[in-house]
Amino acid sequence: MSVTAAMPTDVPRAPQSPGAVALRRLLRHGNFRIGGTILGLIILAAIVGPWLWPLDPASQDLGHRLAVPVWSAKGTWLHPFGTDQLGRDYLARLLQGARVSLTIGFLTVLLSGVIGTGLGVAAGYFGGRIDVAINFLITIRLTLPVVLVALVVVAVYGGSLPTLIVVIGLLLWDRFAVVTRSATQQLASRDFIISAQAIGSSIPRILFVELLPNLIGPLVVVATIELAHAVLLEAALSFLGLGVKPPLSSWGLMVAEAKNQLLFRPWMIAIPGTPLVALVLAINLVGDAIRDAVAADGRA
Amino acid sequence: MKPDALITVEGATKDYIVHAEGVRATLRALRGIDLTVRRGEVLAIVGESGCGKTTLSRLILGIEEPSAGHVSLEGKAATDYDRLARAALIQPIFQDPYSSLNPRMTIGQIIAAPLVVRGRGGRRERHTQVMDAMRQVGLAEHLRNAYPGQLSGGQRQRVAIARALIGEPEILVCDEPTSALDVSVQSQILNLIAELRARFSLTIVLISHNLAVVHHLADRVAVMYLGQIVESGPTEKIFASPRHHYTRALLDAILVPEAHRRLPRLTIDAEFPSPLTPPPGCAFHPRCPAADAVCREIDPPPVGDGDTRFRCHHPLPTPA
Amino acid sequence: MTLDAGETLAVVGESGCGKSLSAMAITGLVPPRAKLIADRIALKGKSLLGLREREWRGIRGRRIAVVFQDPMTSLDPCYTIEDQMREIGRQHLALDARALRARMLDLLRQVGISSPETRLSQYPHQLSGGLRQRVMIAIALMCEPELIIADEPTTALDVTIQAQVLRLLADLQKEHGFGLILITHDLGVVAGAADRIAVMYAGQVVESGPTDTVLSAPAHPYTEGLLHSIPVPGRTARGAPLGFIPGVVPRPDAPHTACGFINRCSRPVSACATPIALMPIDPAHAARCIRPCLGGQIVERHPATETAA
Repeated sequence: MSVTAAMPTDVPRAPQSPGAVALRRLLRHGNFRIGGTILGLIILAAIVGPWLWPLDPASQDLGHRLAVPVWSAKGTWLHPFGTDQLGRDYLARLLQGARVSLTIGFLTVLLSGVIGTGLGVAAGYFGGRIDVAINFLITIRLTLPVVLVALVVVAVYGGSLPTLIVVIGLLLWDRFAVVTRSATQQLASRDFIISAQAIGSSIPRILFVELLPNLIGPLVVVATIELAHAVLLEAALSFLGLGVKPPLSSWGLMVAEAKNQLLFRPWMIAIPGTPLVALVLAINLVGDAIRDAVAADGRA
Repeated sequence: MKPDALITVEGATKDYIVHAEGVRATLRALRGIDLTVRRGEVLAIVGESGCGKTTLSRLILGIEEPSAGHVSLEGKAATDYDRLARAALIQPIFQDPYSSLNPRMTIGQIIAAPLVVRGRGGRRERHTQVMDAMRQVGLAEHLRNAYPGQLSGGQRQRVAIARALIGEPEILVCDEPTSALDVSVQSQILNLIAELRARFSLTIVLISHNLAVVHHLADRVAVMYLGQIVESGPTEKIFASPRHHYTRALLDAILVPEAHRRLPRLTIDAEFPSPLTPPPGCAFHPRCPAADAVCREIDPPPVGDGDTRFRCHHPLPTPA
Repeated sequence: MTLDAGETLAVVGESGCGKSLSAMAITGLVPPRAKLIADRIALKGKSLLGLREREWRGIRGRRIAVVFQDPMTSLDPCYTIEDQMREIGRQHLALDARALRARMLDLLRQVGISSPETRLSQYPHQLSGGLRQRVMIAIALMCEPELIIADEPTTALDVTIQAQVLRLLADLQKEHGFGLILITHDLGVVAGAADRIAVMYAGQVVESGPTDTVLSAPAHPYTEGLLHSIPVPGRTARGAPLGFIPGVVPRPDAPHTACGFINRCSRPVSACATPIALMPIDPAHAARCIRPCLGGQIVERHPATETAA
């Protein structure tokens, strides 16, 4: 049969999904290796740290207030990072702070990602009035000053962990929406979406099976940006006294509590400040690497 | 409706609202199209970019609704079909196989999609059907797990054809199916389409600007210019003795790879007018060598003898 | 490849065969990641190899001009046609403002633009594809170049416009006497427009010769296969299966240890497993094949290695 004779005789290559290709490119990326290592260490510390260092971060020991860390002359291994004004172990508070920062970061990104992607995909795919309405929502969201609104809400409803997650999550979805909207618009004009319509696919199938997998690249990039953003926002709110409330600990809160000691005990700011900077830097490095890895995808 | 008409287009008009240089305007992409496609034939829609041929194909596919007039498939309006019934009847094949396959799905998933959507058959049954479809279009079995990015243009177009055919539709709408492909691959795809057409007795709407391809595959031709069908009829007849001056120009412009050919001197000049402001009277008059005062005033109605129809006040003579 | 003044050479091949790259090598515009290995590239006997960037600038645009496939992307959308033409003129021509404008109008008229004054003040997006390509040709003509390289100049255009633009290039060539290198994938374009053809496959010229000879009696099986795969109204039987070339183009990184066409060839022999040289058939016609088709018959030739040629 002539048709089978026309079959191209190329060398069979191992099938590779575009995702797998991007992942391999990512793993070879220098920024990803550095950022990923730092991020991995911080996540690991947040998970197993409190278990390895089981001192209660909330228990006060007024006899040992403002103990110096182990590397100064009078330091002891009893409190490797010293204690704060209330005699709480600084290392234990730092580890708990890591949990709080990461929990808030990841959960808010999840929440804002779902909201933003949902709105963005709907606007991009359906267009017309839905697009106008969602654009209006995005514009309203962009007119709200994030820190100010968060301050007001927290001042009214109190600074519990769930409140913070919901507030920050409801404020950071705009970039998700803008990015997925334009990416969806581009994809929706591609013939494979029209093909999907022509084979009779339902709208949920088109959105979830055909469209969404193609949005993962840009979504992950936005997620890293927003993760860093959320971590910093939590630190800022806690620093202003409107975020995490003692006895719970957070890096922003620790910096706030130590600000009076800036001149006499600079390590008290440096100890929570350094991991905060490292975390944000690491997230940004990873985000950069992911952007490179998915951008090179091109049409494939 | 004629008894053997599978697709009937009656007075179809399609308007788009566009914003040109800051002004809202109505673009009339189609201006009263009448067309029938008979069961089992290959009808080619020919014309240059902007003539409305792709818009017409979207109306036939039921992706868009006409602003006025009717498009019906088997006597029922194309937009009245529910999505699955329409999919079982008519399928598209697009020009650019780089854009028509989802880059995140494997070839097997892409070809099986019409079956999955219809909830037809179990996993094993679908697998057998996918394998059959791949064999029919000449794709090697191991490509089932490959992604579109790993395939050549010709292979991708074969995947698109397999996907279109797996649900056993009656009509295939092929929009420039070979123009994005390399020359040596084009003929493979044309042969495949011809072979599958014969095997499944498909009805094909072929949209193309390549008249050589049209001549090779089509039974009937409809020539479009600025949203109208200016001439239609059996392929042999149109190629042998076109009546409309635009058809004549299109035929003259075919560049054939043969020795001792000289470049054609076309009898038409100037450029395509903007579809936003179509010329009054006959839309073709600014480019037509035979245009006179009548052409500038009155839009010629379709006239015809037997199976050919054309819109021209001063048609080219038929050879005696 | 060689090209005489006033002559048109068509470089034909499928995507990725290296036809654009070899033409760009003539203008010195080789992409930074590519490495050019050539024995000799010369314009009017003067070697162009090893020229410095400054010396190139005196040649590009002035003595060699390029017309690209897509006039929408090769014209800058931010500037009017006049701005873009004046820029070229200022760089290479010693004309005062009035003389320069007169020249621009004259050139636009020559490329068949009916109202050059209005066109000069327009932006690229206000022109149709055909008009833009005419403007590109006028810009190419600004400095009376000795050579114009047209890279798929009509591929993005409609069929009726395509014929007009090709006609225009041929007419201008008669008048100005420039050499024209026409890069295309369309053998139909070649038939009417070129004096000679170089068919490229997988980075090599596989056949070259006078257009009429190559089209009527292709010697290389690739050229033959290409010609058979194109339907021709009146010649090919309607609906009958078209000829085709099985297989796919080899990957560009494949080593040249055999004839590049060996896997798709209809008549390979064991001797094809060595690199094949471009061997003359007659003084004007050459093919890179040891079993070319001459006068309807396959002729065995002694395999000459590439270094021997």
